[in-house]
Amino acid sequence: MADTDILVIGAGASGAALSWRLSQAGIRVICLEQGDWVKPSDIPSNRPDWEIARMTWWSPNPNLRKLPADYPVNDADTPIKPLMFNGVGGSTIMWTCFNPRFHPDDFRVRSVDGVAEDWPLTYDELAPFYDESDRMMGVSGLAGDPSVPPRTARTMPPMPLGPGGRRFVKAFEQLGWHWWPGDVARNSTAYGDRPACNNCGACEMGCPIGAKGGADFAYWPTALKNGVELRTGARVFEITTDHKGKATGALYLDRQGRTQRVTANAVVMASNGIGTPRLMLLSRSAVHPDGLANSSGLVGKNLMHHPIAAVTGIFADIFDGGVGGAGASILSNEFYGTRKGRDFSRGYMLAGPRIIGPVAAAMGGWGRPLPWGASHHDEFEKLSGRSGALIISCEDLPVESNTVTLDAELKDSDGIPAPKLNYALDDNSKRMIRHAMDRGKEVWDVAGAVDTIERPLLAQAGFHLMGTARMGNNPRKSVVDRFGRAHDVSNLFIVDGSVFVTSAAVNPTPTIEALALRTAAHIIETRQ
Amino acid sequence: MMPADFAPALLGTLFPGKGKWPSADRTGAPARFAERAAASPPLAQAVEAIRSHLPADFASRDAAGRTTALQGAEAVAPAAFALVFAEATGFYYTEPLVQKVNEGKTGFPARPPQPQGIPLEPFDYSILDKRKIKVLGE
Repeated sequence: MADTDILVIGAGASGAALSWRLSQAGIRVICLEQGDWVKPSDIPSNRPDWEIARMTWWSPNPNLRKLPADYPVNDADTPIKPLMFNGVGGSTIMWTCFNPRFHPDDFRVRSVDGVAEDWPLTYDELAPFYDESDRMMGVSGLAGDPSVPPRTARTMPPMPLGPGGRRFVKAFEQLGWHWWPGDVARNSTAYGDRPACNNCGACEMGCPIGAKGGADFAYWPTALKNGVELRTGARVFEITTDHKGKATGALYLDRQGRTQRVTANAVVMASNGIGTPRLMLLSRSAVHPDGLANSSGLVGKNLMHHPIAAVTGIFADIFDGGVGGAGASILSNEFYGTRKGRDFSRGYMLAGPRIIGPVAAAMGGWGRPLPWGASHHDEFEKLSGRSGALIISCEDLPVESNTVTLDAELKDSDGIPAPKLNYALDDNSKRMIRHAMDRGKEVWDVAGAVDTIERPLLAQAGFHLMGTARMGNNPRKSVVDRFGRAHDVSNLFIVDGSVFVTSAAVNPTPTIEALALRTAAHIIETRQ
Repeated sequence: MMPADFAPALLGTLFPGKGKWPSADRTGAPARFAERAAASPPLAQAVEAIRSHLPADFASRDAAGRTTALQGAEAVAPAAFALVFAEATGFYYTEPLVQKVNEGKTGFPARPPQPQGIPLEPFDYSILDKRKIKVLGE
């Protein structure tokens, strides 16, 4: 008898959601997580040097953070640096809680625009699982956005727009562009046993009071009560298979560096769009010579981020003091999806984040680095408290040469080969960014900014890791089927961002969770 | 090894102060910077790279002389300089006195985000009243 029915690799958003859902149905689950629980006292947002921590030892970039649970990523050949967190809750520990859904057309870009591939499922199929994810995470927002399909009432009222957001509104109204309060997985009121947000603004550092919809707060407490066994400090280095190629479990290193084995009837990969292909490529065997479930050759290929650009508007007056939550309180879908008369396919979302501290401002914030020396403080005063950033999230189309592979030399602290990224912007993205920069400048001009600063590509913005084991109906052109089941291995599932066929132009976490919940429902329905 | 007078001279040149802004060498930032450099090999290497392009009497020069020398070092060792500047910025702007000045000028609280936070105002629904409803694609 196997140790468990389902073995889940990774305790982040997707692993947590799936484990919770399976445990509700009484299925035995073991989850292996290489990191630990993050305690409130671990989060440095109550330290005077909190901004230094955010840029160094508590950075979302594992190459800067270098905690024991982290593995290095060779990012020399990508302009977008990968961001993630390894621990219970995964990258939701450091996410800004912005919670938008894909649009219906995002699932059928081949049919609509003749680019990339269609997803093997529709928005309507996923909608109930989006709703379930929203209920679990808790979402502040406002139903009725005319740019997206009707949806259920948000679980809490919207977060306030603040003075900066109101400046956006005024400009969008004048331009006649769409805008709407953003869906944010942060509590505008108390939600369940979690308190209302105290608006500290340091969401990216983790939430010590539990007001943020992190997977550690939203799913794990109930999943554990239901009997899920969560093993932390467990670094998986191989998914084991039998002579027929079926998954049998996993091998991992415990905290003492001892090799441990878990056997399972089925294995679910939930290790993000870099960790999952890394582990699949590490799990070569006679039956899977090119890596686990890789007969298509697509494991690790088609890596997508969202190229993130920023246009900063600088005003003569101090208008916000830099306060407010980190997630987007306002968004515009005016340029979302493909539109006639543009020289690129698909589109982008405009969003307005709020927080920026003095250290970040002095480093140039979303804009350009400030000078040092005699002119430093004058330039700082022009920017700090007087500026706002319009963030542009571009849809990233899949390109096979954008990859996650195993680095030939770089290894983690246990000697396991590290992942290497090769990623370049394609011409479509470059044209899209150029278009977006001009529109961003238009917003600020109308809003009355005295100056603008353009940042066509932010490097430390690679939170969204997608596409490296994509889903589809054709086993030659995809790694998993429409329920996340590997074409090559009938008892192997993938539920993280790896399965994305395309990226849309919005933050992926709600879609990742919805897909994980859908896979869980499928496993429950089809169990024998 | 960094001489004792180097960090105050360096940070005082980077952030010489103006008006209410204190010069960095009159804050605790240089000591924290030096402590960090002693514990961080990448920062220590960057400091040494910068120092190797500075005159031996850098610390005793006047402000203009230090600025000119530092500009030269930045030009020949930009990566090392960027790291040094980033670290120095972090230490300067997390000094209590500097945070207090910033709070007075911008309203940004001179305290960590937690545990106090900032009052969360309710969403102002009136902002939707005059909203022009626009259905995209129509």
